[in-house]
Amino acid sequence: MPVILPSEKRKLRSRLVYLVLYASLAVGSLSMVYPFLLMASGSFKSRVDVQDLDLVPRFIHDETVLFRKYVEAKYSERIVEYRSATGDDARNFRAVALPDANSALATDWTEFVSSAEMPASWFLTAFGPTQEGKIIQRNERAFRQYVSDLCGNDLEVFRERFDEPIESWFFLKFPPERLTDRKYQLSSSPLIEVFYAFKQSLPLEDQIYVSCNAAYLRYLKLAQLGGTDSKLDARSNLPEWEAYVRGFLHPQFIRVDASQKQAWAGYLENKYEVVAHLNKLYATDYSGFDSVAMPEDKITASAQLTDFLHFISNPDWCALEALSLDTPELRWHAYLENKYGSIAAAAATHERRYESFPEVRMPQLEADRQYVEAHARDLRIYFGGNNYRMVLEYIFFYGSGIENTLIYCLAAIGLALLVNPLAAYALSRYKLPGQFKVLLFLIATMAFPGVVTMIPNFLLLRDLGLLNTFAALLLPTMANGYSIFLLKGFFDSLPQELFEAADIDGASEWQKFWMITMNLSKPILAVIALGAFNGAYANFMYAFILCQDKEMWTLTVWLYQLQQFSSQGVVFASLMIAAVPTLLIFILCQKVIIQGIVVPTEK
Amino acid sequence: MRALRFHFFLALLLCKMSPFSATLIAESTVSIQTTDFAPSPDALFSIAGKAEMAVYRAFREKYPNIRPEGNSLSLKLEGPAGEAPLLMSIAGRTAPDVIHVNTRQSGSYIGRNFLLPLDEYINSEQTASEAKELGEYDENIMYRDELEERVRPQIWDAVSRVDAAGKRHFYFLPFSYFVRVMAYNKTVFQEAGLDPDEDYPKTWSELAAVARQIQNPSEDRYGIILGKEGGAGWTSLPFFFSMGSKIVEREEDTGNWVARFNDTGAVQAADFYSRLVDAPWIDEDGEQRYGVGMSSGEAWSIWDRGRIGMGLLYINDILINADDHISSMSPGELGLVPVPFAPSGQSITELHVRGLGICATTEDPEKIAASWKFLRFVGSPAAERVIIQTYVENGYASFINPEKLAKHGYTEYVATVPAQWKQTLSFALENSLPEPYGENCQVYIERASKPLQSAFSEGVPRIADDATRLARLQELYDTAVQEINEKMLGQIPEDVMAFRRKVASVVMLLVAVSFGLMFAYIWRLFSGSEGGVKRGFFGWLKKYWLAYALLAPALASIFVFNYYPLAVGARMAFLDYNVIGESSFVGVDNFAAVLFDSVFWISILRTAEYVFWSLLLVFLPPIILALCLSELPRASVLFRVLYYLPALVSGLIVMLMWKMFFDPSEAGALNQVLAILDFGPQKWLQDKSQAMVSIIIPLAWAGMGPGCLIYLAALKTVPEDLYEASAIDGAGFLGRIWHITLPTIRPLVMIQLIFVLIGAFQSADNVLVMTAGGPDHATHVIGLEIFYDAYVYLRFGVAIAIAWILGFFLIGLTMFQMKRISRMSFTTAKS
Repeated sequence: MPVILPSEKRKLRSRLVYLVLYASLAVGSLSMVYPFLLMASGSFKSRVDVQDLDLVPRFIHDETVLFRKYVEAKYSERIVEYRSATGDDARNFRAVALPDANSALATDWTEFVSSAEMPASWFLTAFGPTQEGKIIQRNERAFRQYVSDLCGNDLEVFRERFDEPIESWFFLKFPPERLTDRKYQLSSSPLIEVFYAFKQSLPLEDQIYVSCNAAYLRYLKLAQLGGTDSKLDARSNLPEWEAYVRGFLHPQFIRVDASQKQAWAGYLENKYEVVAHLNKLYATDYSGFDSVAMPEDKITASAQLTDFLHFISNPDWCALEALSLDTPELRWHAYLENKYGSIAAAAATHERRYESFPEVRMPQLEADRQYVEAHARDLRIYFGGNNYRMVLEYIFFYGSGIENTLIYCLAAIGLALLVNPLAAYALSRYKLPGQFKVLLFLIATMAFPGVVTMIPNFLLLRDLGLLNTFAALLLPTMANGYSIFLLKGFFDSLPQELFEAADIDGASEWQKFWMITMNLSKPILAVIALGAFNGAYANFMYAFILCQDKEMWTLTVWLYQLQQFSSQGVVFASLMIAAVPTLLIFILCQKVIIQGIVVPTEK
Repeated sequence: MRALRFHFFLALLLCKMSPFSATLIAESTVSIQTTDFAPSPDALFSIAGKAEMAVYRAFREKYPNIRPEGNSLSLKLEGPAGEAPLLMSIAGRTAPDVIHVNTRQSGSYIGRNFLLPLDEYINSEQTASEAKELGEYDENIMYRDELEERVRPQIWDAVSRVDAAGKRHFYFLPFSYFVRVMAYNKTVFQEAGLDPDEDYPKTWSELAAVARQIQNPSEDRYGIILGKEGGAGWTSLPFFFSMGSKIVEREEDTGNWVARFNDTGAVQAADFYSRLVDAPWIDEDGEQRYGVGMSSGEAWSIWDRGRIGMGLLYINDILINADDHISSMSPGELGLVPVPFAPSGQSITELHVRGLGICATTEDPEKIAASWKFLRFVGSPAAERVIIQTYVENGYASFINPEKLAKHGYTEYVATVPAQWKQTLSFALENSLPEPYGENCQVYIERASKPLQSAFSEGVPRIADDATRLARLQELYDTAVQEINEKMLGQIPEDVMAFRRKVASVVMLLVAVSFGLMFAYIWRLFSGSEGGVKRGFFGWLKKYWLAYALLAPALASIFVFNYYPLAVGARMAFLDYNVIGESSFVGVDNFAAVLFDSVFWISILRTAEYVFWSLLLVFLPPIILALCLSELPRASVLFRVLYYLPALVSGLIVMLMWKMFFDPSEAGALNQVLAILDFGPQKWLQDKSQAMVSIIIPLAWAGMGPGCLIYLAALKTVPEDLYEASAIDGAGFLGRIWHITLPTIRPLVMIQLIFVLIGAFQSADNVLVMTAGGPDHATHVIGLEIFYDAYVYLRFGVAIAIAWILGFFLIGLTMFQMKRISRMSFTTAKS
């Protein structure tokens, strides 16, 4: 009961006391809430902004930060891809500046991409797996959904159809692509076909067209040739161009004129001597070397492609004049030339100073800017929820953490509310001779640091065969000397008349325990239940050491594992999610505690 | 041309197989458990994991009959007792067959018999061709040539031990080498007006100058990342090595490892290092600055944010950017150069080696043979090839050691690796020494930090006169070396030891007797208060059987899971306990070691300090909060929820969060609040006089809300009419609280007091996370000493001896309190 009596509430002195109380409690609660808000704010962030300590994530109101987040996510946290696709030279995503809007350029780009019919192997999938893989992105999720729909959401079907063992959909990812790198080839597996079908279905803004020009510049820089303004022209006599095209550029961008048909046949004949050898390797039935075509598909690994690469790499076989390129950039330039006729007209529309078409880079940066402007709200929602989505998918898709935690926590609460009150009741109701010795016995071990008993305890549980069972977690902690002590104190303070009256009415021991003692002690029982829940729910070390079998892992262990390999934002999100049950239980319990002990007034 | 297999990176291969293949495999397969290179879910979420999976696949392809399985021990535990799961599973014989060993741990692991000697499988005398000539060749044996390829010459002694008979035993095989080099951030260099490709420091004096030019805290820019606490000894290792100091050395005649970090070179290195951290200087704007580095706990996140110029970081001999703090940087801004040359003219860095060994608990010969194949394979050229293939496929080609790229046929990528990195890597690998790897070397490194810590807290680096400064450092190092050698080697003359044993026996006897007497006294006291008529056994049984039946579950649980292990554990206090192999009986030596260890007595003092602050900050606030909350006519539920919020976050996270707030720089969250109130920045955890309070503040913060609940419930029981009566007598609010409220809830207060006390005396976790005992032992409480002995130094016997001393003390305390409670609370049973 409050110290300030109801009759005093309106006095000046009481009001002053209230004022001081509210003021100091408010200040105190600020310090309670602040770290929590920091965590909440962090749970909405990604790698580029997670180190900022602000209570409201800046991307909510700052378009530059939103843009940074967008490009970081779109280019799958790969700064190199970002730099080559956009021509921006930011050293990291934190340094990315908001580009000027240029809707004419962006619109032209969109029109070009939708009309150019470029193959799916020319663009990277945006929002794909990041290099460090610490966060799951939109298109990874979309791909997972795509495959899972194909398989009727049945993992068994997936395993059989694609011959890939997989424990959970959560782990299905597609690989990073290096589309300008000569060594990059696909194997012809069924999953690849599905992946390419998926790629075809991507919307324009999720297609990142690779810049062969940027790859060429990187090559020149490493080989210490040429300046930074070199261009990868469609045809050229420059030695560095030849070296690059023959030895480094991915074959899918290389075209060989029909004039080389004879040379190609000659190369094959030199290599295979008899066409039957070739047919065996290619699995074809050509009648002569003359009829063997050059490969159409220059991205899937095949013997034909290997031959083709050898063929073009050697000037003795394939003439330089016959080599030409077909790249996204060249098509873009052709598109502009076709649309505007002259570079001056294009420059006027785009409000840029161009001298020639080859220097117009692909305006993916401008397109990104336009997209962010148009979809700011959707993006904010996406970024806000992405960390949480990963956590929820993890705990719902994978493992039985929720189920285990539920069982463990309920059992822990149940046992704590049974074992301890029973013992306390026995001590309180029966004035046992030596009851303090019993209490002493129950409490004294708490004085010894856990180190002493940790190893013997583990050995004992192993010998009892309890490892990897809930019993190993529940039995050692179900009785708590402290709780018994506390309960006994409260039971002692219950009005004795009630028990006497119950005795007169002939109540059984159970009725006295349940209907009087327990019924009147709800607040303290709520305190103990809350303690038992918190102990079980937050138990990590023992839950992990005693139950190492994955089937037995609780939510805390699963989340701990998730935190090991996920980004800091996801870690924050997982902490927020883990806090929800604790908060709910607390709100439930504190209600009971508030209701207080009902002091009976009648007999 | 190699067609790359299109990997859909799929998770565990361990998933259910079809029943047919399962039965097929059950007949012929050997399963082994391993901490590394086995399927685990996170394998898909990091490049290292993907590479490990590739090695696993290659191994399975080569040995289809051996099935390595992941062990959940590969889930790394952070914070206190991180090593506990492995120790326990070794003790419980449930440890994985193949376990991870690094150089630092190797001494203790080998000394404690955790690892099986690989004698059967390693022939370090012959080469394969010699064996073939003799016709003794066995493909399961690793001959000298393969061994030399696998084990770099510097670590030959780390992976093997020569026994008394002069025979060399090998214990683990490395699979990965890390060397520390100077990483620097080119963007920061540019910002500070330095040429990122030329102006990197080549010598110590250049290092100091460059760091000075970069250091500018007001622009949130720092010179170099350094350690100041327990990690200082480790961070500064390359400086010590470069000055020719070995830190620890093996004595030729005894074979003992002896601390040697007090030679002249070491003291000079320490001087240079400590002056990097804290030497006074005036910057261009005339501002007084101390040190050129960032050494608080938050330094790494500042590094990741790209605001620190330089740092000594690990690079890997396969994947150069394996370290998280390097891979967080973009390749364009990352510079890697060797550790600057010391005045001695040398640049020698530290080598950290990861390897695998066979756990000594593996007994099945088939499993041992399979484990050997596994650990031999994962570091073989074949494994290296798939690792490199994985890295290349994932776009990491320009981060791979160019020598290895060329070796495995990826010549076209060689040019993409910056030449500077390549030179640095090969230089560092050549000019490196393994981190100390002898028995107990973890302790030595920890102890080598102590003189540095003392120097910082005394302000030694700020002394202008070189001779004075060096002399003081020499003193500090001499003391530390003497202490550690005495403690760890037991280099104590026999007569002194005999004396100490006597003292220990006498003290133990005295303690035992006095506790016995006290126990008896209190026992009698309790018995006396109850009386009760004797009725003989059957009468007793008839009356109390139900009571004991109700008590039975609680009694049984406590007996079985507390008393029994306690009794088993008690034996360990008299043993030189090994979780595996023989534990020798050492009598009272453990107690003698404890009683004559100055650190133990310091820790007693610190514990008293800790308990004092706990009472003030952990015990009292919930009572006050409950009193306040119960007064509120409105919004009390809201406040209750708000104050409970901290309890929603688990303990370790709370600590880490507060550690961040305690950032001693001006940018630290708490220092910013102080700045508003017009206070200067405080050093919090790094200040000897504030550290203890700073550790306890988070506990107060987190414990207030949950702690007040029980008092709130108790306050409900105070009858209102008592207040009314008191008000009529003219008592004010405080008077009523003092005379009515407090006496009513007093029993509860007493009970809570005991538990706060017990908790405070035993606390270790939070201290370890916040300060690990520093600065300069200012927070080295007794619980921490127990933790270090048990899990870091693996001296279980000593740990348990201390735990028993503490336990006895607490029991005494508890019983006195209980006596008081018994008089008060349980007589108030009335309506």
